[in-house]
Amino acid sequence: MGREIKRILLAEDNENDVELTLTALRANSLVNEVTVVRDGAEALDFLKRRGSYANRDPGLPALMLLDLKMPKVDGLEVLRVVKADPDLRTLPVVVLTSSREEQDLVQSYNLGVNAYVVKPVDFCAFMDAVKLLGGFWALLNEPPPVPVQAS
Amino acid sequence: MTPRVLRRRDSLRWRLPVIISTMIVIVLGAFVWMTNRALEQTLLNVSGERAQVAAEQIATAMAQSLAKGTADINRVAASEAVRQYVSQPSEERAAALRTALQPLTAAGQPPVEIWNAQGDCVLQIAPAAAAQDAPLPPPGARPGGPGLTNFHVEHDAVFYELIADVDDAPAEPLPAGAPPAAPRRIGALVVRRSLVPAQTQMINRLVGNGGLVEVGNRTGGLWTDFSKPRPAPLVDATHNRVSEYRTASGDAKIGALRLIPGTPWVTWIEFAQDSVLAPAHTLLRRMLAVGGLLVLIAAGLVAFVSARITTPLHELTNVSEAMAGGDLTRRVHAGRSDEIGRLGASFNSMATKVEDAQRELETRVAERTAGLRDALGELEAFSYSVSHDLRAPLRHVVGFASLLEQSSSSALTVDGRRHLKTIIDAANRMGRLIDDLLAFSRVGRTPISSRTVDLNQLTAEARHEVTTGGTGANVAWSIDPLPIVQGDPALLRLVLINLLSNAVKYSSRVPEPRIHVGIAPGQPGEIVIVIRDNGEGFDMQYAHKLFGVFQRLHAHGDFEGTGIGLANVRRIVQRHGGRTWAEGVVGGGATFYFSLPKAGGAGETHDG
Repeated sequence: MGREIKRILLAEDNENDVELTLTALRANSLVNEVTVVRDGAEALDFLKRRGSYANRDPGLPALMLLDLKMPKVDGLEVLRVVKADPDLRTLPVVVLTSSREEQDLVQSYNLGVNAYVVKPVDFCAFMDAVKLLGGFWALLNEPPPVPVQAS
Repeated sequence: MTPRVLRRRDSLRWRLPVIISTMIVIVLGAFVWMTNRALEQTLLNVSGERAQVAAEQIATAMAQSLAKGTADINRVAASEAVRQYVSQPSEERAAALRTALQPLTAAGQPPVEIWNAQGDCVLQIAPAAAAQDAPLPPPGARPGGPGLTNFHVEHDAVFYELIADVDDAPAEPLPAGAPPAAPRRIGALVVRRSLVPAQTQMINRLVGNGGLVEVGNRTGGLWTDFSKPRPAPLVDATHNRVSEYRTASGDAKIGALRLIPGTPWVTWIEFAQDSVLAPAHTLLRRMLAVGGLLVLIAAGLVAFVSARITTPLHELTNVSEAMAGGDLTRRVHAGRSDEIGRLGASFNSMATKVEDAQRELETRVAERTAGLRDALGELEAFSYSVSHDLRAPLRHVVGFASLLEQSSSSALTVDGRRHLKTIIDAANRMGRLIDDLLAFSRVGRTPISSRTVDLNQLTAEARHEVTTGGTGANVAWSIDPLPIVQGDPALLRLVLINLLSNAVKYSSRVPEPRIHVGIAPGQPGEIVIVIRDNGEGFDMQYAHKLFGVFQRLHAHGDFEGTGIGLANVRRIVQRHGGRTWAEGVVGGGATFYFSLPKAGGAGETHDG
C-alpha cells in the first residue's frame, strides 16, 4: 500500500490555468503529485503508457482533471476514449472548464463523467473549488482497486 | 373553410327547368284559355245567327203559305154556293158545295166543316181521296171569330184552324150614297189542319243536323216540333231575339225566336251548345296535348342547357374547394368557347398564378428558414466560444491579481493596492456580465415546453428564493389568488424571480416596504399579472428602456445588477405570446405587468 502514490493528472493546455490550478492545489496542502499534460493526445499517451510515457511506472492516477477545449484531441474525445476503454473506465474524471454550456454538460454526463465543475472567475471561489475537488477525490475518495495483471 | 352543402332544391340544375316549365305552362294555359273562350264565343254567335236566319226563313215561308190559305178560304167562304147552303141547306146545294169546297180539302187532313149561326156543324166534307165509307171524325169545338187560331191538341195531334165567316148577301143593291149595310154573319167555314211531319224534314235540312225547330203560340202554353207537343223552351216568346237557356236536365241550348207575321204563332230554332261547341272542345284537347308535349320538350331542353351550365360550375366548385384544401395542381376543363369556357380559362390562369406564388413563397420560406438556421447555428457557436474563450482571460486577470495581492501586498503603495482591487472587481463584474448575457441568449434559444402551471405555487417558490438569506425580511407581502396558466414552468419561474427580486431590491431603502402580487384587467383572451412595490420607482419618460439588455435606470452604486433581468422577463413573456409593460413614479414605487394567453387561447409565438 505504501508504495502507491496518489497522483492527479491535470489535462490543461493553458499555462495560466495550469499555474493557477497548481497554486490552488499547493495552497491547500495537497501532497499529491500532479502530472500536467498539455493536450488530449498527450493525456491519452500518458494513460495508455505509450509515446514519451511508454516507460512510466504502471498504474493509474487517482483523479484526472480534464479541460474540455484543448488542441489536437479535445476533452470530450479523451473522455469518450477513457470511458470506452475497459482498463481506463474506472478512472475518476472531473471536467474542469470555463463553459457552462448545456450541450457540454449533457455530452459529458452522457459519456460518464464523474463530476463537472465550472471554473469560477473569482479567485477565492476558484481556490475553494479546487480545494474541495482535490480533498474529496485525492484524499477522501477510495480509488478503484488496481487490476491484478498490472501488479 | 367549410364548403356549404348544395341542397337539391337549391341547385340551378333543378330550379331552371322548373321555373321555365312553370312559365311556359302559365303562358300556354292563358293562351289556350283565351283562344278557347274566343272560339266558343264565335261558335255561339255563329249558331245564334244561323238559328236567326233559319227562323226568319221558316217564319216567312209559313206566313206566305198561311196568307195564301187564308185568301183561298176567304174566297170560298164568299162564294154563292157556300152562302146559299148556309142560309138554306139542302141536298142539291150540298152537292154544289162539295165541288166548291173540294180544293180546300187535303189528303190526310180532317174534313172541312160548315157551321151555322146557331153553332151547329151542318156539313163535313172529307178529301176526295179518302175512303167514302170511313166514318167522319167528330167536328171540332165551336169556332170563334174569323182568322187563324192558336195551336191546340186533339187526340195527341197538334191542330190549328183557319176560319172564315159566311155572310148573307145584301137583298138588293144599295142606293147610291147610302152607307153600306153591315154584313150579317150566318155561319162559318172551318178548315182544320194538323202539322205535317213531312215539313219537318224540309226544315231540318234548312237548319242542319243537331238543330231543333219548334213552333208555338205567342201566348205560350203549347209548343211542337211539327209532330207532337214538346216542353216549352225557357225563353221569352214575345220578341225576335237570340237566347240561351238551360233545360231542367242541365243541357245548355242556344236558339233564335221569330214571330210569324200574320199569325199568333212564333217559331224557335235551337242548337245544343254541346254540339255547337264540339269543335272548340276538340281543338282544346288538341291544344292541351300539343302544349303538354311542348312543355315536356322545353323542360327537357332547359334541363339539358342548365346541365351544360351547371356541370362546369360544379367542377369549378369542386376544384376551388380542392385548392382551398391545399391541392393547387387541380384545374378545370376549359375547352368551351362561351362565357363558361372563358371563366374556366381565367380560373385556370388564376390557379396557375396562385400555384406559382405558393411555390415561390415556399422556396423563399425555405431559404429564409435555412438562413435563420445558419444564423442560429452561428449564434450558438458564438456563445459557445464566448463561454469557453472569453471567460478564461478574465479568470486569469482575477487569479493573478489576487495572487499579487496575497504575495506582494506589503510592497505596494496604498494607491497600488486600490488599483489592484479595482482590477479584480472590474474583471469579476465582467464575468457576471458574460454569464448573464449567455443566460439571456439561452432563454431565447431554449425550446418552450408548455404545460399547466399554477402561478400561486410558482410565486411562492420565487418569493422564497428571493428572500433567502434574509433579503427583504421586512417586506409586507400581499399576494392575491392567481390563475392557472399554460407555459414553461422553469421560464415563468425565472420571470417571477426577476420581478420579485427587482421589487425587493428597489424597495429595500424605504422604511416599510410593501409588495403586492395580483391580477389586473386586460384585453380579451389574456391574463394580466401585476407586481407592485412602494420602492424607488422610476421616471416614466425612461419606461421604454426598462426592458432593454443592460439598460439600467439607477447607478451601479445605488443598486446591484447587470440590467439583464427585465430583458429576460420580456423575452420569456413574448415567447409565451404575452406582453410586458410598467408604470412608475420617482420615489412612488413601480408597477410591472405581464400578460399570458388564457388557457386554450393562442399558443406560443416565436419572437424574432
